[in-house]
Amino acid sequence: MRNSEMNRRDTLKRLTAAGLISGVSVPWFESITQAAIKRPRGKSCILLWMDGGPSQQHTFDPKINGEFKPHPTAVPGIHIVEQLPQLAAAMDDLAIVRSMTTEINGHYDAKYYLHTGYKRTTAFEHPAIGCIASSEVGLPDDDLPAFVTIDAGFDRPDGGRLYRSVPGYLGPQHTPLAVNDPSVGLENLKPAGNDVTARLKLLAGSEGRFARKYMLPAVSAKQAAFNRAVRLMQSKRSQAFDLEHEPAVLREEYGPHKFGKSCLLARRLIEAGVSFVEVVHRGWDDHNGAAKPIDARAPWMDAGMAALIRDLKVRGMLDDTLVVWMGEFGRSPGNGNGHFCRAWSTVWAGGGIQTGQVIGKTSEGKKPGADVVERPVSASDFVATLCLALGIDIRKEYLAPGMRPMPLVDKAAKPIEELLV
Amino acid sequence: MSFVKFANVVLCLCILSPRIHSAEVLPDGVARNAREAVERIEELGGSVRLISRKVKNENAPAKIEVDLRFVKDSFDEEHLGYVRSLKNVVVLRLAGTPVTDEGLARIAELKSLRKLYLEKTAVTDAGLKNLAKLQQLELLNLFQTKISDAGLVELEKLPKLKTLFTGKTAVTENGVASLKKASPQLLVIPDRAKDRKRVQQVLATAKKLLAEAEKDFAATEKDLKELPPKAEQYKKDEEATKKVAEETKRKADELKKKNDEADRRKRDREKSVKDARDKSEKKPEDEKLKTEAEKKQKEFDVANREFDQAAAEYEAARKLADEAKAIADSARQIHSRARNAKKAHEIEERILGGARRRVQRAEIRLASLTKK
Repeated sequence: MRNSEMNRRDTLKRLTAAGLISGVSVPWFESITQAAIKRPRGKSCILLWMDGGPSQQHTFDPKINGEFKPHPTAVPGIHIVEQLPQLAAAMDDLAIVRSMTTEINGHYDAKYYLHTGYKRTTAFEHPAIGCIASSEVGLPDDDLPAFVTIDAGFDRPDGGRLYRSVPGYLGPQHTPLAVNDPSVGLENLKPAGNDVTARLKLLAGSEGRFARKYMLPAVSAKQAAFNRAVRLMQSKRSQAFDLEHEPAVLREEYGPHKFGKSCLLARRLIEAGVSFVEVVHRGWDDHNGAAKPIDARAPWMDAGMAALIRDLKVRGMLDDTLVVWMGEFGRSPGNGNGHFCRAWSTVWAGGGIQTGQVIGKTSEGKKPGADVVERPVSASDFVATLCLALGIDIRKEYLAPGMRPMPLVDKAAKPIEELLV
Repeated sequence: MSFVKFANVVLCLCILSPRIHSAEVLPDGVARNAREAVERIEELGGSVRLISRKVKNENAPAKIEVDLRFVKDSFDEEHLGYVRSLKNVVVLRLAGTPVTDEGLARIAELKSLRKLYLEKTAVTDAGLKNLAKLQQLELLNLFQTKISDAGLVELEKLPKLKTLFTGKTAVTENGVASLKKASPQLLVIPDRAKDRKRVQQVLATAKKLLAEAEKDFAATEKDLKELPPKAEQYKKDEEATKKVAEETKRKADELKKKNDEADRRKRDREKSVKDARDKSEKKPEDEKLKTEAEKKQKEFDVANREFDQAAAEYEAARKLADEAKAIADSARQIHSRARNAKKAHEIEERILGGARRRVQRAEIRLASLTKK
């Protein structure tokens, strides 16, 4: 039953994927000599994005005289707040980076900066990290999209304009597929009516004529997106979008909150072959003090994230799945009223990184947490580390508008080697 | 450039190759060479990748991963033959594929294998016998398969096995314990004993947080019942006390000014007394200077008395102002509590709900880890 039809275009695509034709030097290629190996389905990533800027002192970097006290974890010497007991118990599977220092204190610009590793310019948009993963580790021609975003709802709708991942010069095929509600899954997955095949054939006929006549990138991009949607509708792997397939006990562990459901959906999608899932929960912009709101959010956040890590681990998926928890910045030391980009925390798990450790340190003394005193991590350091953990070549260059060569990550970036080695 | 030349050669080969092998059809699972094997695997929906981009020794064969998780329905165990045509396959992913014990016999020939993923397949205890040949094996995933303690015994023959996944199987804690006795280097996931200990800790913290949340909630509950009806009164109180506080503060400030003035006057006089005395002492025979000094002394005494009085008055006014301020503050606070009672109650209610669910969740998990 094999299909030996392989046209030249496929071969070209495959070679491009392997890095041969794009002119990028791939030193390992020659050593294998046997074949053109399709681009790897490498590691995957789940990004838990706490939109609005979660307070580090009320989560992963508490101070002795702070509102939330440091509490011991499963790793001796590492303390986080008491309000996250499940994550504390899983500390050996977590790495906390307490020395994020990222220059931008405005919501939207900071979201852009932390998603791309570059500051916003007026000339063009840089590709978001999920789109980079889609382009570099996702399979180019798969039933499922390589990048999915899940909206986990909001506490309150502030926290600045929502950032939407844009692939920019990587190509429109790397735009994420958006899930608006984890309980609903993917809407309109089942086609209406029973004459879909006939309708698709008709459409393909007329569109094919148009495409042949007007061979523009936009036309082929539109067609590619449409074809992908059809493929997804016809694939049995699209079941991944339906949480009903999970046992009730496990769903309860993740929690009934939209965030927990989103975490469960993220795991299902990664299991089904998606490379990058971004879960966005909005409403962490706590200008009236972070203590009470985080006290209320902690139970569902703790349950969702800890269940996700545990579930990935039990299934043997944790080593191949990087989980990152973060916002666009932290909050001012003390009560967490203000935005604070000078010294804040991100949390990492899985993906084969070195866990059970804390990277960096914030100041103690008169102004606890006011500054980074050890191992500062910039936005581009952060993105570089994330890319390397996924096996992405961060030096690879793409042509941005205006024939401007852009490396995937700023060349000045210093990845957090302590996490990767 | 040799690299470009090389690329061209591969390109030509790839374009030509379909025509070559379409002439002669090989049986399923047989490939003439590695390149063909890769092609077949990819046609089936699998993928082949290189594990590492870093090649330390140029001559060492590259480590390869074969991922068959998402193969098409046309895949069957015969096709595992393609994997055997590849050299140095160290990772093989078969999760969710229709691989059975028979397939394991084929896999047993992949001597270089270090990681084998068999989760969600139909393999059984009987099939695990075949794995004894995989002496390099470091990781084995048997999540959600039909294996039991009986099969685990076979794994004792794998000296390098470090990680084993047995979730959602019939494997028991006793089975794991006896395997670990034979292979102490082994990490078995899940580790129920460890999980139990951790959930107990989580439960203890959760209960403590619940007690705190209940206390805080009770306080806001009381506030909500008692304060809002009196909000109007509190508002009036706040305004009235604020007025009093401002008035007393104004008075105290005035008296402070007077006090400071009296103090200054006292110091001036003190200085002139000293000067006059010094002059008089230098010329003790001069009566005029002596009277002058006495006069200055009297003036100083008056200023001193005036200062004492001003200081006492200021002190009293300050105390009054402080008291009024404290009263005003507490009136303001209680008014704000009355005004925000509903909001505070709402958030404490949410915190309490979360704290309750946290305890519940830990209890359910503990129960599920304790039974069996």
